[in-house]
Amino acid sequence: MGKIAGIRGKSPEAYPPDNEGQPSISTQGVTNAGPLTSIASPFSLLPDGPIEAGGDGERIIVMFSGQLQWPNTEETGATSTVTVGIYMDGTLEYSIKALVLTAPFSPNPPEPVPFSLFWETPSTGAHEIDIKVQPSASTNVYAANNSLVLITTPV
Amino acid sequence: MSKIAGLKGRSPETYPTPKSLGLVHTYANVNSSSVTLHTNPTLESLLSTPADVLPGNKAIVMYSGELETSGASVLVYIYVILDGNPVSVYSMQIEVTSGNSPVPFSLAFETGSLGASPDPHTIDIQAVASIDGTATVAANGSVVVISTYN
Repeated sequence: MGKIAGIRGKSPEAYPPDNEGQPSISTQGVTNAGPLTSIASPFSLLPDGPIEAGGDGERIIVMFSGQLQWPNTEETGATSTVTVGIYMDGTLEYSIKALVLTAPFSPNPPEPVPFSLFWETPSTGAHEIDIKVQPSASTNVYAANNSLVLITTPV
Repeated sequence: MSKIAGLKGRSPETYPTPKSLGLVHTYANVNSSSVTLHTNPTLESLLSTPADVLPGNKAIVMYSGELETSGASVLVYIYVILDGNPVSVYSMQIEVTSGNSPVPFSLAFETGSLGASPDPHTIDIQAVASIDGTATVAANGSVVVISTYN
């Protein structure tokens, strides 16, 4: 069947809008196998520190997964409640806590604690996103197999 | 039947309203308050407000939080509840003991394409504990819902 004279480009079949069917998102991802260890005040789990994402009229969905464990062979650790948080422009915005065991508590050696974080920036704009961890005890904590995915979406 | 010249492309039957295929909408909420859990059938919502999703959309539900108990070992059941139905669309179980809490947990789940009603659909994250009175709580919950028209 031929096109119809006089339609003037109004046929959705022949002339679909340019952005129809296209997801208006962009993504960034980074992994950091580690292991990382530190007793410093909140230290980043990302290989190169904060990642900039987002822009005008956009929000950022943050998805992160990783695992925590005490180094059971290097020192006399202490069981600690570890805080893992999402930092936006240097400020802690969302965090969870996880108990990370050390010897002699069972199981010995202590098993890794897997965790994930899901969060979306509450405001639009470009932001620096970082994931940091801080143990409550002044003893090293291992963090490994870290993976971050950022999805930027228009509002 | 052939098309009619001069229609200017406005026939609803021939040219239905374009849908925003692939475009995404998001909902996010953090509930930093602790939620004390009870036994079945008293399900407690872990969200301060259920998420709304438009009909015809699929919803990707992502939740992260932590569980804690000060008492005996307890099994916590986490449910994704659609439209307040008593049957969950997804669930998981987590053992929480005084020796491992706080224990972090998370879930990711995608619904099927949601029907025309209700409008909007609601998605909630709810939980119950296997033992009551052990001060089992869920805290620091964050939910992100990505919905797309399919």
